[in-house]
Amino acid sequence: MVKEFQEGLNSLSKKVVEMGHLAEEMLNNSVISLRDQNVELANGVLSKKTIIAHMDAEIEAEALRLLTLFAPMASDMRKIATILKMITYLARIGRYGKDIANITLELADQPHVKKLVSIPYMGGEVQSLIRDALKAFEEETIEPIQNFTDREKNVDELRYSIFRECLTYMMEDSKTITRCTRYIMVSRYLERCGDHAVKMAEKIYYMVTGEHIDLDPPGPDVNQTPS
Amino acid sequence: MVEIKDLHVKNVNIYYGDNHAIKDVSLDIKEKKVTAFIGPSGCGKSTLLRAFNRMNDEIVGCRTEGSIFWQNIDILDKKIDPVPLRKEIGMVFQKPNPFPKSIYDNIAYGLRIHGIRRKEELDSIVEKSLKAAALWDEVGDRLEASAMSLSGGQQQRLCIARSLAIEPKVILMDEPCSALDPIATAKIEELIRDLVKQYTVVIVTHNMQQAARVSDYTAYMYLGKMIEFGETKQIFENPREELTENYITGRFG
Amino acid sequence: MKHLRQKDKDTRNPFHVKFNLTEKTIATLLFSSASVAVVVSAAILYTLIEGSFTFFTAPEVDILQFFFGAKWVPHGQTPSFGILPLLSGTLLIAGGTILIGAPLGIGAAIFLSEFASDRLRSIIKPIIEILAGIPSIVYGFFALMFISPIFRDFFGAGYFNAVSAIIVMSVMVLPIIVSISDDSMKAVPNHYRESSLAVGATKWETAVKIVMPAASSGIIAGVLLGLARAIGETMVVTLVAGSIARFSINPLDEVMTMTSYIAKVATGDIPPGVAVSAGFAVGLLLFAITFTINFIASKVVIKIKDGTPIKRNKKTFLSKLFSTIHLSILNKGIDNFKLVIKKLFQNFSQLFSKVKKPRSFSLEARYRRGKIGRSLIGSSLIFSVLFLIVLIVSITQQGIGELSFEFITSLPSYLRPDSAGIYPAIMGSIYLMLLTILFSAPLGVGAAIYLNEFARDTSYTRFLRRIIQNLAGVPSIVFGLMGFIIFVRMSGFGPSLLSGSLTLTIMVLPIIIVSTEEALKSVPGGFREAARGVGSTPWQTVRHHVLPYAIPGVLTGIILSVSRAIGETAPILFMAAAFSKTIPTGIFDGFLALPTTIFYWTTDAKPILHDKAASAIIVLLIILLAMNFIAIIIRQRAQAKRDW
Repeated sequence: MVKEFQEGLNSLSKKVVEMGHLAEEMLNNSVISLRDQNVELANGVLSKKTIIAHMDAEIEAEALRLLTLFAPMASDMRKIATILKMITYLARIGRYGKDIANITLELADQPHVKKLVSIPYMGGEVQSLIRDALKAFEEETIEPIQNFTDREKNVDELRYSIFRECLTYMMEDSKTITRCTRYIMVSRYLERCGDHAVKMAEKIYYMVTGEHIDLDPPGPDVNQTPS
Repeated sequence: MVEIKDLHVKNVNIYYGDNHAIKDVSLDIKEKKVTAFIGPSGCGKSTLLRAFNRMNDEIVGCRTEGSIFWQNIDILDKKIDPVPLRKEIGMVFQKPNPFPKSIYDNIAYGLRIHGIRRKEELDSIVEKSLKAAALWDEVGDRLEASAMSLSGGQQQRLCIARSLAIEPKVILMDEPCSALDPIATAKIEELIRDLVKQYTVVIVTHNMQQAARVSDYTAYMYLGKMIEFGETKQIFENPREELTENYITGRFG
Repeated sequence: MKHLRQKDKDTRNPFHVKFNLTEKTIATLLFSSASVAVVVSAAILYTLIEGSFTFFTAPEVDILQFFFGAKWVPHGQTPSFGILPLLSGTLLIAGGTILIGAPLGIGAAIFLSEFASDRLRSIIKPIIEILAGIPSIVYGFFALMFISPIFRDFFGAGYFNAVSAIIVMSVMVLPIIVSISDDSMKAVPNHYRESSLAVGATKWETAVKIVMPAASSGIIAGVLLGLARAIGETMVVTLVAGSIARFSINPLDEVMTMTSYIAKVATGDIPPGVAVSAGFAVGLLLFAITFTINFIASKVVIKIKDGTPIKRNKKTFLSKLFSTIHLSILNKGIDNFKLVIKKLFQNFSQLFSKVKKPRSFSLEARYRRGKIGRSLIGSSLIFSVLFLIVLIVSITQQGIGELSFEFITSLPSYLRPDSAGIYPAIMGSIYLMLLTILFSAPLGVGAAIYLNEFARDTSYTRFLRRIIQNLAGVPSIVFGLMGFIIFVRMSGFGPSLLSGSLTLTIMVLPIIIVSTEEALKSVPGGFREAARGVGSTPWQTVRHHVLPYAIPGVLTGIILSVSRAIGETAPILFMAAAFSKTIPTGIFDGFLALPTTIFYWTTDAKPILHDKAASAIIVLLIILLAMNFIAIIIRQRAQAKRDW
């Protein structure tokens, strides 16, 4: 019985990692497609949206099945709880990738403002957060997510700086408003993905140690920006 | 701070002849809480439970060392008479075993032994006990019927009523549901959560889910040692000891 | 298919059942052995009914007067045959026996079961077994020589009195009551005791309020069996209680019981004629009474084993009849009886509480009650042990003087009683024993093998078992009556070794069957299965794979049964001679036997013969001891060799 459960859990974990890589890839490719104005790549990302939705449902069903039949305890229970949360976050990350790809298609006909500002850089940071969270999940260690609080702050600040930068462009030249508003939305999406990665990291921390941690404590936020 | 109404087990060792069955166990049973002993067969949970009401005294060749402090008395002290102790610490056994008497007489037995003989008094305590054991509605109108005519679950509740009648402070339960079907088990578990408002309950169970559902504190025992003891939520969510984790997740053995 | 040759039959079906002459013969023989029990029962009934018929058709006898008449005067001018005085004597003595013996026995059983350590049990249980093995003639002798004088001197009783019989018989029925009650109480599951202790009861309270009521059916059965034994006892009452048929509830009086009247017929003290045939009518009534009591007791025992009211598995017409009529009445009867006792108890204690100061339930008071109770029942055990010691010591004291080599090797003498010896009696008993073994062993072992290994669960098998069970409860004097009519008279064997040994054979048959069955049952079923699995026939299985392992148990059973037979007086009272100077040389010769010689010497007027009777008892007891010893050795050696 236990063997059946363990095998089920192991294959489920592999699927989660697979889904994670898919989400990571969708996000990454969407940013690249935006940067390079690569319509084909963007379409590629869009085509993956049903796959990731499907994986979400499949993994959820399997996790619930294991929960019902095996009533897992302790570390096993924590892992399933984490998996159920992670697939939600990963699905959202994938969806943001889709949204960014859509923006690529929208802006495909015009050149970028200022080489897309720091969006590619922000994308890279967020992607590394996601990758490290997945690594922590797969290896069941907390080492890759040790400095997530700082990195997350970094991502937040990047979004803010992109926002301010876009504001200045829009004030200078009203013809950039369409593109810059889109850029602000992209930065918002990327920031959200970062948040999701951090939340995943919190759950993974619980999974490994059994303790709850808040990697994004609400602090005095001088830079309150409207979403 | 040492709460005197709690039961403080200190360095208890129990031997059956040469067999060292309980090895240096210490823990605290909190008043008006349910504490569960879990562990694989033969780990000593029942032996430890039976130390609380000195039932091990009846077994030839069984030797108990150490102390269990309760209300400033060491109940393991040889000078303490187990007979009055068992009025304060009652026990329900694994197999429902009502006496071959009527339902009424089963409960009245303990009362009559302790000197309560007047019919009115007996009637009222019998009713009270059956109500407390959630059995009154089912048998209140046929108290003279033989206890053997009840179902297994009802018999076990009758045994619980029998223990409650003499108004103990602590109730020990040795795998009370292992001979019952799931519905009867659920009724007894509900009863336990109800009883704990008034009594301290210590329950031995080999059913981990039951321990998780029913208890406030859980002790995991293995080969006579107490491996881990803590709040039930913590034991089942995030056990500290690897042995505990292995048992709970079933990777043990 | 007769036209088919054997060869053709074989080639068509290699597995068809072959006719095996040996198997069939043996199976038939075994079946016959078992069915002997039916023949025996029929013989007993025939004897009693035929004799009673002769009696009731005699002109002096009126059947109504027999059952309701109050005067028993078997001879003289106007003989009167009213059974009630004899019945009264039987009831007085049996009732008194149970009144003393039941509390003693139940108390001893409680102590043994609930309070005695294993070591104490291992000492006491053998002592109880010894008490059971002492022949009744020895008890009778002890009663007459040692108990009766006490009541004569200090209580003004007559030479013959009922109380001496009652005292001695209380100890005699003790083993029956103790062993069945002890078994019943040990069978009460331990978790009842644990539950009782867990609500704070003391050991004494647990024993009396939980264990005893739970075992009540078995205890009642034990008491009933003791009662039946007391009713059927002959030798003690004949020696000690007297021969005046009268109504009396005064135990110091002399009374006559039904059994002592029949014994008088046996010893020839009754003139021939209607008075003799009256003995058969009395025997029939006695048989009916003991049969009924044993029947009720056995049903109660089944009730304990099932734990439920008596049910029948197979619904045959007869059993349906049984179950609807008898068993429901029986069940109701038992339950009502228990309810009556309970109500009586409750009313009594309520009355008591109104009169007396209410009982304290403090811990000290409860412990005090427990201590008193324990010492009471402990003393009943001590009483039994003391009784045994006093019995052995006093008889030994009386008889040791006369015990000598000459005593054992010389002949009895009327003219010079001082030099009377028991040589013919010893030889007679030994020949009896050997002949009894010769007849009873094959019959009993065969019957047991049939029942245990061959018989299927048919109504006939169940009938057989019941017959055998009934035979075990028949009073020994009734066997004597039967033996007298069937062997001495009808078969024309006369009062010979043959008649005596055949009678004893029939008496020990049920015991040998039961003990052999036990020995067979102790052989694991796996042996039989393995043997059948390699193709052995049923008889081959038994002969090669069961019997060899059961032999020690079978031998032990035979020896113990026959040792009981040697001590029995009543069955051979009709046949053994009172006096003889010769040793029997053939099976048709007359004989003396130790127990009957003891009887005649005890009832003789000359005191020297009383002493010699004591010596003869010592010899008898030594022989019994030796036989039991051999049986134990065999059993222990078998246990040691056993490797399963």
